[in-house]
Amino acid sequence: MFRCALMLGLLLAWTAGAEELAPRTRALLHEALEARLVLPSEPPSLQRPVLLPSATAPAAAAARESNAAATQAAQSAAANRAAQDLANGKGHGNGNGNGNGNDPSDSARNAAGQARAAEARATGGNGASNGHNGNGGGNGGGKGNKP
Amino acid sequence: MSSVRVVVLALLLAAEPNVPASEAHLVAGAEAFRAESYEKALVEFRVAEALGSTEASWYAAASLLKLGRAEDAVEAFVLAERSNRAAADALLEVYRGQACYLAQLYLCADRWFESAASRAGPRLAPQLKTLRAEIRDALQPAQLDAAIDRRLARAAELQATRPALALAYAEEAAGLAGRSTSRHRQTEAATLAARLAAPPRGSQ
Repeated sequence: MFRCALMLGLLLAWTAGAEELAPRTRALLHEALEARLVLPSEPPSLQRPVLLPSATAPAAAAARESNAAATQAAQSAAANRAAQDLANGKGHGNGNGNGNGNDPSDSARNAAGQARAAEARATGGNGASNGHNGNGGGNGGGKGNKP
Repeated sequence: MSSVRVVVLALLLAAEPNVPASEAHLVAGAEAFRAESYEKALVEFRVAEALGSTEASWYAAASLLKLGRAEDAVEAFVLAERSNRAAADALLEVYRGQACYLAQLYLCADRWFESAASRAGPRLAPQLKTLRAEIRDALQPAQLDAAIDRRLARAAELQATRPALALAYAEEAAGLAGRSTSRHRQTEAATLAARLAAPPRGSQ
């Protein structure tokens, strides 16, 4: 009983922490949006036809594909992270001599490559950097400068 | 492993400062957005979203807008609001209003511009006021009925596959119908909007 209550408490604390956004991250997001805010210049008109489905359907399909890839990325990253935490006794990011020295976010980056490919298709890009199952694009996708 | 050791291990795990896995992707997304790499920003925000950040959904929607995918952005904002209403701020509301504006959902745009204007700074507030005045002028009674027909037709097209986006069109049609002197298809629009706004069966 005690153990169940404790584990439930820890789970709730972890969940709450996962939703908490660091002030610095929030500020970065706000600054980015503010810097790129451009209000519409074209006057509104009721007479224009609404967006045609033919123009948006392929983009929507590709976007859904992208979402699936992102979900896969997240699941892989979470699973790897959990496995590595367990193996390391909660150490992060080290080669630990147990044959488990992978960066836990590798698979996230790999699948993010797939997401990028899908988004490139959605936005009319060529997706060329993701031509090998998306994985090449994910690994080479500029994540090296991530803080 | 004894139960004591399990509890101690659990406590140690909990004691470590918990940085959400999504945080790095939100930061990367913000940097990409600032660099106008909106495709990359969108992917980063989607990954963050998949890792559990409901706030990321709002920024993914803003990225869609910047990519010129106004309808997708409108839909994404609706879904973001459903998953985390509290994450929105005035700036995100301006982006949401823009998405509506570009999808020609002018009443929707007006609603978000109005909400944002009440909290916006001295530079942005007058611009939002001007946009709202332009929207007001554009809603000519003579054009309303045809506009309602187009929006209802779009809602009908989308209702099976993209109900959140269909809802936005149905609500717009209902709003326009309320301004129409003949209340053109008002009941039909309101009924469709109410049906689309209801949670799908089995979700609760």
